[in-house]
Amino acid sequence: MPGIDLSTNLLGAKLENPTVLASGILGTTGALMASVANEGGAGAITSKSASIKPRGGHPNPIVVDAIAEGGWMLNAVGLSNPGVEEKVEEIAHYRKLCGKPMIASVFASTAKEFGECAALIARAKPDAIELDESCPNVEGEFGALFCLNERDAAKAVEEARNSVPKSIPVFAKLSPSAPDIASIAAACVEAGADGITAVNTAGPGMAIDISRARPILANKAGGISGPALKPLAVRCVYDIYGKLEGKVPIIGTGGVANGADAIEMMMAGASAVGIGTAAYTRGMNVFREVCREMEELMEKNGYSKARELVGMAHG
Amino acid sequence: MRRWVGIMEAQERTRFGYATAKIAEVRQENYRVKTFVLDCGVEARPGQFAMVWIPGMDEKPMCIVNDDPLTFSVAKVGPFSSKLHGLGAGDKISFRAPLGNSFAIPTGAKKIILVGGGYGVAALHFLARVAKGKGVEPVMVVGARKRDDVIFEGDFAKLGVKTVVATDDGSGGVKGTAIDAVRQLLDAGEKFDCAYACGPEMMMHALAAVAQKEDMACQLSLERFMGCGIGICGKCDAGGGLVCQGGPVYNSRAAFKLEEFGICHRDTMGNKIRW
Ligand SMILES: Cc1cc2nc3c(=O)[nH]c(=O)nc-3n(C[C@H](O)[C@H](O)[C@H](O)COP(=O)(O)OP(=O)(O)OC[C@H]3O[C@@H](n4cnc5c(N)ncnc54)[C@H](O)[C@@H]3O)c2cc1C
Ligand SMILES: Cc1cc2nc3c(=O)[nH]c(=O)nc-3n(C[C@H](O)[C@H](O)[C@H](O)COP(=O)(O)O)c2cc1C
Repeated sequence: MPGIDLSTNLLGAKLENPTVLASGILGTTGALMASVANEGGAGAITSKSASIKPRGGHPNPIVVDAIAEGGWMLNAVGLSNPGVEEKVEEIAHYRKLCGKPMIASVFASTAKEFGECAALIARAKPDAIELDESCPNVEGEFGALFCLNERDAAKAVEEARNSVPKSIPVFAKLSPSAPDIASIAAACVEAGADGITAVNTAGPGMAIDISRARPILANKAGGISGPALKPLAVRCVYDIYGKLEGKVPIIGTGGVANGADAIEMMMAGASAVGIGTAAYTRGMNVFREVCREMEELMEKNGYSKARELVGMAHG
Repeated sequence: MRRWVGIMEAQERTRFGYATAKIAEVRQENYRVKTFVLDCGVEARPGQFAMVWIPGMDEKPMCIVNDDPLTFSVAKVGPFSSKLHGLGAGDKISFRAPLGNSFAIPTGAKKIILVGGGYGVAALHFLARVAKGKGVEPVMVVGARKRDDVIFEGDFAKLGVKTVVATDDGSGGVKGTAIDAVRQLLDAGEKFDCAYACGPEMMMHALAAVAQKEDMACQLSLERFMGCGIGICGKCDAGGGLVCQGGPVYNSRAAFKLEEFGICHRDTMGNKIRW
């Protein structure tokens, strides 16, 4: 729309619009990521989290869809991935098909392994690396989440930061289940994080099938995403932005489903807006549609640049 | 018999999309395929699938072989299908259905050819029945390694559908592949308005090539490892398209656009496995 500028900049990466595909949704193959960017209209892509060794994840069911009934979804995919080396190839394939920025997500079970995994994915020359310190559906396996206390969260960041060329920014992805997410974000930044992604799924939660009297997810519990997560996510982003005084970019993620949600997330302090579950509810074109809705709402409210929305709600 | 339509459907099924029914009948089709007929029906079109859930075990996609009563034909190939084979009449079965898109019969079509292998033969029986109902004449080609692998031959006969069986070793029907049989029909001057296939990918790939050469419309039901079945996890990507969403049915032109069609599929981790 003439007069409305959605472009933004994420630590050097130029985004034509602030929407970013969140990690773990449609981020499996290079071809699929490229179609989310090229056809779906996302400003940037986050790949599905990769680990050093391949992982099968949990058996099915891995998702419970209660979007229509309650505005939420559960997932316990269990971080299935072909391993970081395969991921490097998928990213290379993405690069051939698409010129838009790409954030590579990694996860690990120890701080040291976060460093090793980040170093391996850095070979793909992503525009940023995101450390998934916050997946709630593998807790049985990995113990408590990394990002629930400042020391562990910071240690993983430090290892990664020290293993990756300075030219590649490192984002720490945090959990809304942390008692004080802003302090954890501050500790991560202190340890070298260049940006924060907030938030991962909440919970974990559970859904039981009443005719079988069994939890639906094979893993029984799974992370909560979708619109029901949004108020929690907006508050987390608001707190982090306040604590860090807007000094590092935040990818605000959680329940964003339309242009108004995206603007709200930016006003809370997000420089870019992650979209996951809504890529299912509204389809891959959600990115394009959210941008169109943002433009209309910005026009109506007299805002011209998306960049100027960032942190606007902090009086 | 319960039939999930209208208000009943909403009340019984909407909790997270899952429904539970009982198995009314199990039929042994051959040494490794069993057909499960449930005590309920859904509204579905040929080509659509269900995610069949065994609580505490796994959930896998199965073609809808009939929508009312809901019917699946399952080949025993591994842990999940073996567990299903252990179920009998009266046992509960849970599912989400219908999912995915379906085969389409072009308007004005008079004669179509269906090409199946393995359990795909059962899935095409549903299409043959719907085609017959519309006054379209289906010809069925069954490809199999050997005589014992052929299923549903009697069901097609009962429907009055001309059926050609092709076996690799010549132990049943004509010796050769399903595609050889299709070529023979075409060479004999038969004309089809559309070709349909459900079965091994390389068979479908070969059929798509024949169809392209003959300028014949062609629809294929692709199979990929599925996670969520609703288009969010990305496991069933076939190289730029999710089979649970854009498929499982693709016309041959769309299938050739998928980077991995006829080349490879992926396991639950996302590792490529060549066909
Ligand atoms: C859209 C769709 C529809 C499907 N419809 C049906 C159906 O109607 N009937 C049906 O039986 N299956 C169907 N499948 C396959 C089914 O979902 C499972 O893959 C199958 O039951 C294997 O699960 P498992 O745990 O028993 O074995 P796994 O351990 O998953 O597989 C064991 C081995 O068998 C191979 N294999 C898988 N399926 C077959 C097969 N059909 N023939 C030969 N080898 C095979 C696998 O590649 C693997 O090497 C469908 C799949 C999709 C994507
Ligand atoms: C099916 C599914 C898989 C996910 N996998 C990952 C993952 O691998 N790594 C990660 O950091 N976050 C993962 N997430 C979390 C999302 O990236 C996102 O933070 C969360 O879903 C909240 O956003 P949303 O409400 O827009 O979905 C996953 C979410 C879903 C629904």
